[in-house]
Amino acid sequence: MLIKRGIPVSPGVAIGPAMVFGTESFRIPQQLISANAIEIELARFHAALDATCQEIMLNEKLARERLGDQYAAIFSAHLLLARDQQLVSQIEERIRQKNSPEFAASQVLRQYAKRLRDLGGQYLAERSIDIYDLEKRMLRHLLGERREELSSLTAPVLVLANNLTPSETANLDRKFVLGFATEVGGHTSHTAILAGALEIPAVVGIGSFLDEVSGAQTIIIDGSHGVVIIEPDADTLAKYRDSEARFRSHEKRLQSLRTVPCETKDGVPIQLMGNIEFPGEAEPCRDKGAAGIGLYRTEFLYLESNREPTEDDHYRAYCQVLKAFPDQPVIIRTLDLGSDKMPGALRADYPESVNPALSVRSIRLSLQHLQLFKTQLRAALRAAALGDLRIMFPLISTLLEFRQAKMVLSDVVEDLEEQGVEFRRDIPIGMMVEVPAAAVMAEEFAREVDFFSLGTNDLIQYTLAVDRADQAVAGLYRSGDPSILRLIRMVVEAAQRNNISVSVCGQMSSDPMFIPLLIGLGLRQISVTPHAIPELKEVIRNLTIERAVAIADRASSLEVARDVENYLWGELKKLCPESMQLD
Amino acid sequence: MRPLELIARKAQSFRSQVFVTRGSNRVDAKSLLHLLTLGAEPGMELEIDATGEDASQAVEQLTELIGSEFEGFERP
Repeated sequence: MLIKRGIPVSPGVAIGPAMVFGTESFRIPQQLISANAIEIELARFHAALDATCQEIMLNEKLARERLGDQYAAIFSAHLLLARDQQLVSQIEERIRQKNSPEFAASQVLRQYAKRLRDLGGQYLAERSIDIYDLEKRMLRHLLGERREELSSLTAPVLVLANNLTPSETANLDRKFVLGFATEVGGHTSHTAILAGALEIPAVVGIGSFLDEVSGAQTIIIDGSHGVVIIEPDADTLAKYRDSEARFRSHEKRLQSLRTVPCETKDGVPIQLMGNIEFPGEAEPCRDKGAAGIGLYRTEFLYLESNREPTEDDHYRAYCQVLKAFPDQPVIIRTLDLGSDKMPGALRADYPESVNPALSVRSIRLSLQHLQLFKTQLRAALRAAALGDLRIMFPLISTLLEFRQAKMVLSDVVEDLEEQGVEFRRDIPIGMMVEVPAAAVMAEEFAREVDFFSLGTNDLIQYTLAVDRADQAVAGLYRSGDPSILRLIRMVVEAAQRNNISVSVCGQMSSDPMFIPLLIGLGLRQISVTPHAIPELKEVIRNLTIERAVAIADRASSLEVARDVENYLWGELKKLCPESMQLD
Repeated sequence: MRPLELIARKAQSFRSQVFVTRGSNRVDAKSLLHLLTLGAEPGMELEIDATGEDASQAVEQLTELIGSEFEGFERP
C-alpha cells in the first residue's frame, strides 16, 4: 500500500483499477488470468513480443534509409532491450504466477524505468523514457483491437496522469472515469474547475508518482481530502468503500432537491443560477438544477491557444451552452482578462504592469482592441438567435465607459444587419458592478442598463484595497465587511427603484452563510459555483423572507466584519442543523 | 547506450554465462537492462567473470573491449 498526498479539488471517493494516462494511454483490462490460461497467455505474450521486435526493426530500417546510421542505432538499442532475456524471463515468470501479459509487461518494465531514473543523471533518465516507449509498444501489440483509449472506454477506470488539459478533462467520459489524479496542477487550474463541475473526485499536484503505479492496480482517490492510495490493504479498502457509500447517499439526498422548486419557505421564488467557464460545464450545471447561467466567463477561449479565437470559436462555445439551457437565461460576460493574464495574441503589446488590478484589464482591454471585442460581440449576437442570451460588460467604472461599450455593440448590430446574418438585436445588456465607483453611481447606471450583476470578488478587492491572492494581506479580505454590505444594499435598491434586475455572482454567493443575508438585502437572483446549488437550495427552502430581512438588518447594524460573519454563521447553523453535521 | 550495448552484444556471442560486477552489484552481461542498472560511468572499475565452455575467451574478449575504451568498435 502506498499513500500519496495532493490538493483536493473535487470531493468524493472513487475506487477502481488505474489507468496511467500519458505513458500508457490505454487501459489494461485485467490484472489476473486463470491457471488454465497460462499457456495461451504466454503464447500471446510471445506473439506480441515478436510483433514489437518486427516493428522496431522496420523503424530501424526506415531510420537508416531516411536519416542515417546514427538514428538507426537508437532503434537497434531498443531492439536489444525488447529481446533482453532477463526481461523476457521476468515477464514470463509473472505470467506463470497468473498475471495477465499486459499487467506483467507493464509492471516489469516500469520497475526498470523507475530504477534507472532513481539512479539519477540525464543519460539514465532518457533510457527510462526508452523503456516507457517499449512498454507502450508492447501494450499496443498485446491489446491489439481490444485497445481502449481514454475517449472510448468500456469499463470504469481511475485516470492517473502527469497533467490533463482542460479539453482532455472535459472529454472524460463520466460513465467510465470514476476519478482522476495528476502530478501537477493547483486549486485554480482549469482542470480542477472542470473536475468540480463534472463531479469526478479528483486530486491534483501530487508530484511525481506515476512510475510507482501500473495500469490495472487498485487505486483509491479521495477527492475530499487529497489522498491517493495505491494497492490499498483490506482494512483501508473497507473503510473507503464505506465512506464512498456515505458520500453517495449524501449526494443523493442533495440530488433529490433538484426537482423541487427553489423558493423560500414562504413561497418566494429565488433564481439560483450557475457560474461556468467552459461549455462542458453547462450540462452538469443544468443537472444540478440551475435556473440558467448567471455568469459565463469567456476567458478560456483566449487562454487555450496563442492565437486569437475566431468568431466561430466563440459561436460554437456559446451555442453549446445555449443548447443545455434552451429557455433559460445565459449571461455572457465579455472578455475579462488583464495585464497579469493577457490573451496570447496581445501579450507582446503590454509590458508588465506595476499594478495589474488597476491597469488595462476587462472592458478597458476590449475598448482598446475593438476588433477583438467586435468578434466576440458578433458571435454572441448570432448565438442569441438560439435562446435567452444576455451580454454583460465587466469592470465598468464610469457611465462613459458603458456608453462606449454599447456604441461598439450598435456598430456590430449594424454590420450584422448589413450583411444579412441571422442574429437577435433586442437582447438585454447589463454590467458587472464590481468597481466601488459603479456601486456609488448605481442610481445613474440603473437608468441606462438592463441589469446589474454584483461581482463581489472584485468589489471586495477594490473596496477594501486587498488582493486576496497575496498571502501577506489575505486575512484582510472579508466578505462580511459592513462597507460591502452597504454597497450591495445601495446597488439592490437602485435596481429596484429603476425596475431592472440585479443578481450577485462571485465566491461570496456560493457560501451558504451569506445566502440569508443576500436574500434579506433584496436579491432574488443568485449565481453560484454549480456544485454548491443543491446545498444552497436547501438553505433557501428553510428560510422565510421575513427571517432573511431580519438577518440582513441585524448584520447591517454590526460594525466589524468579524461580528457580521460570526452572526451569519450562527444563523446558518440554526437554519440548517442537519447539514452542518456533515462537515 | 553505445558502450553498454556493445558489451551486451559481445557477451551474447558466447555460450557461457557472463557477468559484470560493479561494487557489490553483479549482473548478467547479456542483458542491456541489467547493465544499465549498474549506473556505470567512464573511469569506473568493472569486473568480468564467466562460467561455461567458452568462459575464458569471453572474459578475455570483453576485458579487451572495455579496456580499449571501445575504440574501433564504434560504427560510423
